[in-house]
Amino acid sequence: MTDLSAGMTDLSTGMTDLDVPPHCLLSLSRLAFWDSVRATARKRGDNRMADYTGALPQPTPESQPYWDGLKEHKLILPYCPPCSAFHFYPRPFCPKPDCFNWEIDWREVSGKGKVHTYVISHLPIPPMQDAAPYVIAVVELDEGPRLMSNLIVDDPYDGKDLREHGSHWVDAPVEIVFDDVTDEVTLPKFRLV
Amino acid sequence: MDQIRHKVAIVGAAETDDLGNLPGMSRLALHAQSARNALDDAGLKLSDVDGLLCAGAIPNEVAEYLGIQPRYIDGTSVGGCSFMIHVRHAVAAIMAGYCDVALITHGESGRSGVDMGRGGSRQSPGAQYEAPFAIGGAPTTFSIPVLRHFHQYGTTKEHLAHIAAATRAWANLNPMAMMGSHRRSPDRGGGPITPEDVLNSRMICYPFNLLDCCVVADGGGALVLVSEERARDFAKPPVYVLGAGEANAHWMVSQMRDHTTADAYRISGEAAYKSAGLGPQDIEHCMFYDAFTFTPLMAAEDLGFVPKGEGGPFFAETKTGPDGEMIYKSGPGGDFPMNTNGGGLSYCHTGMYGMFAIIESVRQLRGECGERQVEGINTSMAHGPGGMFASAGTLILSNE
Repeated sequence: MTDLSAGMTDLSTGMTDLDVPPHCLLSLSRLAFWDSVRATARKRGDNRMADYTGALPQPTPESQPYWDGLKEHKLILPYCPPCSAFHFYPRPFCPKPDCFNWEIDWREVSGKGKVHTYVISHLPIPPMQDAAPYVIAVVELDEGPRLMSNLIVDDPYDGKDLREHGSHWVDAPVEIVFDDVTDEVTLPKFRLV
Repeated sequence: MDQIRHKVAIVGAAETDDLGNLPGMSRLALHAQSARNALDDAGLKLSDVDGLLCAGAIPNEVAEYLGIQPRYIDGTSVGGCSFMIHVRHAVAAIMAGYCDVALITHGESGRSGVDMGRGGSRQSPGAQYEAPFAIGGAPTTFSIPVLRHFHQYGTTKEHLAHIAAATRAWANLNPMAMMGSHRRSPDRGGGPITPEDVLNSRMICYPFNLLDCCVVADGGGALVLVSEERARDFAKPPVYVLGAGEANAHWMVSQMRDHTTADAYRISGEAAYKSAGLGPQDIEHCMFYDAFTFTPLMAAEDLGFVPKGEGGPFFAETKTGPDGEMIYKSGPGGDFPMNTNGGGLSYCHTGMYGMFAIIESVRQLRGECGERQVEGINTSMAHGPGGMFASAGTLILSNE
């Protein structure tokens, strides 16, 4: 669990010697909500959810098919037949202003793509508090849409000095990994191919 | 489009008494104190105010807190550029007769968190599609576009580091700047820094080291605007709004159309240039929101000061001064004076920094900046993003 009180004490000290910059602590405070979710999960005996420290998505009626698909280890996205195009994120219409069609199909995509851009976070953000540094990436799927995810890789810098690393992983081919983080939630993550 | 040019002026601009670590002041008290200081700067009374615009607090709560009943309100709150957009809206409101004296306020307890409840929907697109991947605030999301820019244009961390060093050099000339040598000793991270220091500082979120990131502060600022006719009667020289633009391009950074160009910057900038009847070649001083070193680089490119992709080498250009000192492109003595207050990087960053960029434009155009004054300027651009390059506001201001 995130110890917010420790963070707030740090806020009043000099900024250059903080372990976590205060702007990150403020966003960590949003995670405090999950402490109550986990407490509820523990009461009903769902220990897997109770032990998961990260932020969990909570679907809307419009996004439910997407999250249901992931739970079945399928990446299913909304598809607009008139445009012959997938889009992300799920909406009940085609988000191209000259289309705005509300007759949307859901279709499975390949789960293959490439790293469009990424960062290497050194911050102890749950659930990666013990796994930093870790890669946050925007993946461009072969079918076109882009989504945020994590790139699962042993060494985020691939053995390179940070001055030599440049934009090493950009355009690297990747494929989806279905990460069952709780009994209810599966997150789409990616690994190199 | 040119009907707004020179119709309304900024006649008051000020920060709170102090900036930095202010645990004794709430968010709303910061709004109120900055309002008092800006009204004092203009020589107006609170009772003169009949238009209220603010972000980070709704106008309802600020109006009640101040004890006023404005007949024009605007609560546009789209992040750091909200105040540029407020100026644009205030110009229209004053021209339309909706109000005579517009007060724009900002106050944020960004460091101490006094009265700064945060949370938001757990079912929002951001909560569903970005938050689960261990993003941790601006350092992990504002950084997302950067490596795509590196990849396409050969931009490097060394290029970015020059922006931090140049901005710190300005901070060292500003007594209010949090990381400037007036306020912070070298053993606490203040005073001059080199690009090498930036690269050697602690890694926060690659490609950003600590010194690529803005400071985090409590503070506030406010502006007072009146019509051009009325502005002639004020003790301090008016600063006229020549042009203004605003735009929104996306919300989540993962959904940015092209990670190497900020559409909102371009749309907002084009509107500002068009309404002012000016182009980038006419702008003599720039205040480009710098939450991180990369942010103003994107502005310089997307606002037409340098071709797309050439921002890195542009900012990394240096020359040697008469005493052998390093002169940075955007630093004191450089030929692209930018972020002359010390920027979000080294002066102050509360969360929605845009207000402070406008205040510095006003002061530079009034000639009030002492050691850091850029001599002989008549035009200044104040520009900022909201969210992660999501929205933007651009102002072109002049003292003539």
